[in-house]
Amino acid sequence: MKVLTLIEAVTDALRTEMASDRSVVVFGEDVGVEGGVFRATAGLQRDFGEERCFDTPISESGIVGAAVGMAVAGLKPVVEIQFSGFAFPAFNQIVSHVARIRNRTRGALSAPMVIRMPYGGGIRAPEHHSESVETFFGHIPGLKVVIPSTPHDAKGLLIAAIRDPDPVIFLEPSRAYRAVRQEVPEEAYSIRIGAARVEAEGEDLTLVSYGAQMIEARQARAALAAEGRSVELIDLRTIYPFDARAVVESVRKTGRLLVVHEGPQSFGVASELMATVMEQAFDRLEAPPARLAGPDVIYPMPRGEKHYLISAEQVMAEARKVMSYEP
Amino acid sequence: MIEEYDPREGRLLSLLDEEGNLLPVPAGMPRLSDEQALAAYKTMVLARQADEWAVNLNRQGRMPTYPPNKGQEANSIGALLALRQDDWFVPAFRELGGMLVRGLSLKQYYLYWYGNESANHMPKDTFRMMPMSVPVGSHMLHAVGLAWAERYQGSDRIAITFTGEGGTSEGEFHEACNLAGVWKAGTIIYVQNNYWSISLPWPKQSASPTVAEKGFAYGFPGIRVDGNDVFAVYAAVKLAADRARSGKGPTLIEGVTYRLGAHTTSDDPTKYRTEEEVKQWEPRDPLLRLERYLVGKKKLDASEVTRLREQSLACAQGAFEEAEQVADPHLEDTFRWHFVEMPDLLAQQLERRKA
Amino acid sequence: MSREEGLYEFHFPDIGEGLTEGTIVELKAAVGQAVKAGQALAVVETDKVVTELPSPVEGTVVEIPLVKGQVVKVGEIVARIHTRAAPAPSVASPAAAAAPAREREEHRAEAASVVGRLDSGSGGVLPASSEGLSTAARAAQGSNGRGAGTRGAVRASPVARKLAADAGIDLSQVTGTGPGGRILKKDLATRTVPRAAPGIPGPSANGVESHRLSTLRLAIATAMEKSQAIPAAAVHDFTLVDDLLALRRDMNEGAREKVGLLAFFVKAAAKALLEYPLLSSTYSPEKKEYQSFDTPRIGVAVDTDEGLVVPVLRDVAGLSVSKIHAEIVRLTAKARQRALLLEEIRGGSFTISNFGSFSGVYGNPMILPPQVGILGIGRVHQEPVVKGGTVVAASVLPLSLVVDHRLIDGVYACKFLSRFMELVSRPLLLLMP
Repeated sequence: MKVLTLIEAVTDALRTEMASDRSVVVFGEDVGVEGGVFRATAGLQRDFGEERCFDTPISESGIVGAAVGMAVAGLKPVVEIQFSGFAFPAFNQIVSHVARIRNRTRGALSAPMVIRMPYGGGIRAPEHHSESVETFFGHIPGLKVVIPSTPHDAKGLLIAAIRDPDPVIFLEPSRAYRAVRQEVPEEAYSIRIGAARVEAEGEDLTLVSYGAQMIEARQARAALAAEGRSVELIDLRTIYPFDARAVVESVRKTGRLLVVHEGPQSFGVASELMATVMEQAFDRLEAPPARLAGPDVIYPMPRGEKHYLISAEQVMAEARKVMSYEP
Repeated sequence: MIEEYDPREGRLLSLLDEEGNLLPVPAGMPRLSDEQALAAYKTMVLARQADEWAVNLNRQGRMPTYPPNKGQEANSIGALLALRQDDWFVPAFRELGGMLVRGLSLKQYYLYWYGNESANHMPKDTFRMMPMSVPVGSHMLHAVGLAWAERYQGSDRIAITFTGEGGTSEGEFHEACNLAGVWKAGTIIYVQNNYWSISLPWPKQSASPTVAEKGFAYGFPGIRVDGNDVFAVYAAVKLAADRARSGKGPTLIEGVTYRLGAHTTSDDPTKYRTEEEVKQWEPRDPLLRLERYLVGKKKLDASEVTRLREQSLACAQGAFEEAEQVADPHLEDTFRWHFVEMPDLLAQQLERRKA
Repeated sequence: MSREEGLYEFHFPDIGEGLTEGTIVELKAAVGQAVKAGQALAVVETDKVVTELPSPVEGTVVEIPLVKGQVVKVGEIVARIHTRAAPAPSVASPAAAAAPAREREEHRAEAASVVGRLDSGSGGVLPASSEGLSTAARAAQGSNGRGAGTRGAVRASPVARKLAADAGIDLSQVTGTGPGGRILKKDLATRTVPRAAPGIPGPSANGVESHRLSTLRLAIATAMEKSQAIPAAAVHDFTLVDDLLALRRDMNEGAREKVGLLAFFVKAAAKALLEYPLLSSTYSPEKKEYQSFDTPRIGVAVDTDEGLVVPVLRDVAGLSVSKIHAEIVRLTAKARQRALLLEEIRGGSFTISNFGSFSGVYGNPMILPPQVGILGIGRVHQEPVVKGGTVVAASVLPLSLVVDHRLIDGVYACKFLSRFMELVSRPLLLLMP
């Protein structure tokens, strides 16, 4: 076991899989010589060679499109899009081909690959570097979308993604890259994609979040516990297919749901979970399902970032409101 | 040898003239044998009959929207003849001739346009063919990745991809060429310049005099060929394939051809082009000149020409009837193929539809 | 930006990518030395770089607790500098020094990336997990285990829950007729207002016992909290009721069922409310609307051993006093037997609280939202009053009227009260249609 940050756990997963499976190839902008702008691929080119970990021209569509061909030919490309805000040029390849080829060939061909990208704000970056894109990808049939919030999960989920026979969008919360540390096993292990994780059990409220927002969610839960309020904290981990069962089971116990996420509110993940809970746990509700999400605004530049991000205090206030709801 | 046909100097590779006379083939230039030429012709007739029958079927109300290949057959037939069965083939959607060369059944081809995904079920090792691609220009990158992967895995298989000249305007064409050049990928990018992208003529599609010369900007040669000359197409693709297989990298081939039919059966070309223009191209029909060549070489006579045509039509008609007989997808098929293991979310949605 | 005078502590920052420590190569400043912002204090070597550590502030070095060759960990003190109150630094200072030291440290703490600042450690160190490991490798089953038990849940529709909560009905006592035994709104209509003591006893220790509130008590508490938000105005007055008492004596002589005073008060209120209907409306502050009723529905506060229950008498204005009395008796008995129906406690538009039957002359009873008025009736008693210039003993009825001043003004309230008093002090008026 070693204490790793989330980004180090990503590197560990890549290294583990590259060592055991020659079909795994890693490429993208600046991932080779420099090891990635966040150092996610540090040391991989040195240890596995330029053939297996290499730099590409600035060509997101090209990166993903070429990966389609490679995957069809039997390789396992693990590509990096440098920032989620730059995934859009690759959207045509993702929607029109990556997500579709298995279905449209009735299984004869498929393009299993992992598309990794840092996402989310709170890192005081220039414009376009803080986008929340999980809803876009979650809405495309044929893709899996995964977001770890801890180093342990990052390694296990990335290994699972690399081994998955379907394409996986692997979103890494940049704000959590170095903010969270944890002991991580040195061996290879995988965590089932599609399983949420109950991080803490509770009786009075089901609090669901994912990604970097889990940092505030954890703080809020602990502070509320000190006030004598019992909150069940769930890390969703997989956006598609999301673990409806875990969330519903929890809400049937607690009677209350609060979903918190950084990405914009409208059409976001929270609305999906609230709808699911309404469909499957209506009878057990003590309060209407609630959400606390980013506003429907363009992510602000650094000076205005404070208006956007959700603090632990805000989570706590919303949680208290839900827990003291009276009809 | 490809370098000698520099499109920037106005060179065009042409071997068979409109009268069916084979020009002297330079030494070292790959050449279709007469047996191969005959096979090419038979495939061309089948492709032509199948194509025209499909248009007919559309007018009968039995075939949904269909894009005719008419006039362009030599491009994909000549090209696929120059490649190995195990080379990758990444078509756009006007390469029926090439697909027939590759061994796809007419029934399966028709089934695609008829509207059933099972038509795209082409086992990798049998066909090494990607399904037809609808988003213009988006598929050429796949050929680059395929070629790269084959080399990575130690094989000398290469990849060919097709697009129209309109596809060269899409950004992904540029990205495909750029990556192919940087990676020296064993990829042949074959552009069927049939002059018309629906209603936009080539001079309005690009300010470049030719498509072929664009290759040089990416560090590899481009060559312009007479796309209606199956000998020239074969030769150019064979040269490009040899380059690719020996690690010299990609080639951009521009087949100068003409779309004799409409863009699709829902298109009315009289709105944007003249009958005169079409009439000018009819004598350059690839089928016609190959026929003249073979008749001249005594490989064909008039009665065989007729017989072949009739046989092909009957084949096409039968193939479509078979396609029509194929069962429509089941409800489960709509759900089943998205993931190897169907997630609960999807399974629940399927259950709901069943009820 | 000016700095305040004080002692500034410069902590060794993470100057890149998750650095944890560095070695002092050279000290560049000494105790007592004046330093400018940006001036090097020391040279430090890390596993990535050898770099100067510039002072973020201008001042005098008070302490540098380091020596050459010493290993310093991120966060440890490099220097203490006494800063003077000073205007913004001169343009010669590097821009970084103008920023508050804290922010600059954070800037230093950012991990390298082409853009953005990654903060280290704000997410904490998490407990290890064993998820995904083989069973052999799994030491302790960690965070993925689920505890036992869902709470014993009563299946009821949200609307049924709301009504039950309003009425203080314990759902566990209700039989549901919906699918799977689910309690629906209609199941409450035939339901009573039951329950044990105000509190449910909990564990006892050292003579101290905690009790959770019963459903009814909770409902009352909630209603009272809401009542508190009403801008209430009270007016107190009294009237003489000797004539009423005499009338009642006469009525009850020989009567099987003796009519109580309360019935008269209810009748009077009903009549007066017909003339002042605004007082018997209900008000919604959220919607800023009030609802009026064609006839007042008067609730009568009844004390039960579980708490206050307010059954509602409907159509009172049309009833005779004896009928009103009978109804009061009936509802009171039901209330005490915990047999009231939901419809018998909902929908009131005015309340009478006869607290005087125990003690209390004047009071400020609390309005039951969404009503806008409540009439408190104090203890009828004899007092010396002035009648026709002389002091006589008379029976006094003390009255406390509390109204929601958002809807009811003082004058209106007083007029109502005046009419009420007229009706009870001249009871023949009561008996007239």
